[in-house]
Amino acid sequence: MNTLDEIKNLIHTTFGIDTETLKPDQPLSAYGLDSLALVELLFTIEEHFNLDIPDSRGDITNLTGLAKLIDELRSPQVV
Amino acid sequence: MHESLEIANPSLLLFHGLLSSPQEFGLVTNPLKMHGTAHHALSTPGYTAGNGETILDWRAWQKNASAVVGEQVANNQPVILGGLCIGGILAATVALEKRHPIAGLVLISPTFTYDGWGMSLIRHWRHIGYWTGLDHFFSVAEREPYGVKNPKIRKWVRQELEQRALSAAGPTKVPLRALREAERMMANVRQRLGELDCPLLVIHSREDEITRIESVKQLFDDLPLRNKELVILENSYHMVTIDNDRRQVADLLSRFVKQIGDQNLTVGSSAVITECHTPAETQATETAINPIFNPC
Repeated sequence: MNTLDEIKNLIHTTFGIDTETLKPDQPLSAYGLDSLALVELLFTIEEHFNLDIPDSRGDITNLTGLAKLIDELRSPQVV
Repeated sequence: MHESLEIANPSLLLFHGLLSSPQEFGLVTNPLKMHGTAHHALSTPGYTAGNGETILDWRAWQKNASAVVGEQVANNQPVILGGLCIGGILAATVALEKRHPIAGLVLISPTFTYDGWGMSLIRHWRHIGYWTGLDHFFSVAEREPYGVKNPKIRKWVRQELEQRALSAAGPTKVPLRALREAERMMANVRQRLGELDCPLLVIHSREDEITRIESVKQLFDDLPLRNKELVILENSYHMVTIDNDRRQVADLLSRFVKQIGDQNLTVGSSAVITECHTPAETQATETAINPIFNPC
């Protein structure tokens, strides 16, 4: 399963949002996730992928960007 | 209190901590929704930050809180009251009024006294402020660890406090006068909690820095109530609804609501107290004899 699909599944299990409705390039806010929910999502992702999302990368606004960042953060661990 | 309550899906009404906001329940909202547990994080005039002028009188908090609960109770359908920290004490005062059909009470990190490891040494001086009236002029500032064990969440709370003076962990500071009123309310509840005759769930963290688990356990053990349960969380500090065990808290709340809804409890029916230490997950430490509330 690629990272994008893993994130979609996490959003589904955490917020009950149907994965079919999750468009990679649509802003996360479009799914009715308020600031608290986005914080919860970030904590959930960090726990799931066992990584730390640096504060400096607060520019992430959609799933594509999030998946790309996670792959970046994970790639050193894979080597 | 009604002798026998036909209860179907009681709604869970939650009060936040002292002069804070419903945002304290922000990180358990979705897990509760996923459980299908109907809940409302209440905003109370004079008590909730930003809901009218702050009133520094616990009787007024109780009166307004009772009115807010009254608005939520539809055609006498019983509700479950609960609260975090002083919000739990406030919920208890409303439950003890016995004006509303209360199907159960949940105390989350109940602050029955200020004796935890995180209390500053000057806490003893607060009584001088109370007696001299200087409490009108002083406030107690929120400080590390903000009730949060998880470093990432604590950093987020710190940033929130810097930006908005209010966070999911409460306000940046609390008037000393409000603390005094809270302590008066605590004293009232400590005295009267034995009059409670609805099921009670207490959730407290072993590492709570505001009120020691031993104090909560002592009060819990002394309660003559038979339908009561204490769950001790192992991986959080005081703000358990936003800390490491937040999902565990949502699970416990949902289970309590369902147990009450499913059981159609007759008030006062017998049950046994189960004290569960929860490392990663729930684990019983006492044998349940006739478990209505055996969560483990």
